Amino acid sequence: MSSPGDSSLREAGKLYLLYVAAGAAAIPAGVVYSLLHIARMERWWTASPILGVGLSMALYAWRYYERRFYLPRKGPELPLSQDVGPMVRLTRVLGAPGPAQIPMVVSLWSSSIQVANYQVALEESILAALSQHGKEEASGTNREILLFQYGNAGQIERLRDMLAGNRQPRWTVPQKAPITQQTEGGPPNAALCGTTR
Amino acid sequence: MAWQDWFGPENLKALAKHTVHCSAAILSFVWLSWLVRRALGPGLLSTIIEGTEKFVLVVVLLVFLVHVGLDLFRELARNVKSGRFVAA
Repeated sequence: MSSPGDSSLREAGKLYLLYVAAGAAAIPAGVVYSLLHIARMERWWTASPILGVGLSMALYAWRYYERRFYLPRKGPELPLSQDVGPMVRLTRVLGAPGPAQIPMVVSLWSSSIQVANYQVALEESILAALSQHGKEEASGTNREILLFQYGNAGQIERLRDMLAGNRQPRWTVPQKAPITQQTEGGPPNAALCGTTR
Repeated sequence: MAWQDWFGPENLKALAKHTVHCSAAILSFVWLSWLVRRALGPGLLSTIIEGTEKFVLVVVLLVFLVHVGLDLFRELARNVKSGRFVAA
């Protein structure tokens, strides 16, 4: 944080540097003038053009560094695309979590599986906010955690649907095609094929 | 037109600031030239550096005069624009 004293010191330093830059820009003309002085060719018609050249160079240097010191510089451009960096994305996710960030809606069925799923989903959303690579890792980690803790993840989903009444148990689903007894030789369902002919 | 039309309070402040920093720059050049001449010893190069130093001092003084004059004219223009002249 800069105080007003710091700001005035900075301004004073800039003005001093402007004078130094103006003097330094006049050094080549000064060398030419001193060479003329050593050669005893110092006349008003030789000194005055050199003085004019030195003064114009000094004023030009002053103007150049004045613009450089006092004009506002161009700030760093913010990225216009959606890829704004992991921390911004993480802030967005944590600030306004939507259905896309947390895919699992907490239902009335509260069990350890659901709590674990919710935690994994939250972790996945945070990791997905960090990077695409993190998202891939999170999905792989989710599957590994579920498989490690509860076995097959598909069975857990099916069990949950069954408890919610959205899916019938497997043993009550009628068979669409009858399974015939395998006879000796021939392909499966050979008897069925024979009856249709 | 009185002298107060040329020298306002802001202008006096700028004038003092220019004087201080121009003096500091001149002293810096003189000190640097003296340091180099002392390191080189007497010779042609020292003579060239001495002549260059004088030329640079004249140029810096002219730059100072140009900017002080610009500040004075700026103050005068401000007074003309605001319509307040001390000796109208």
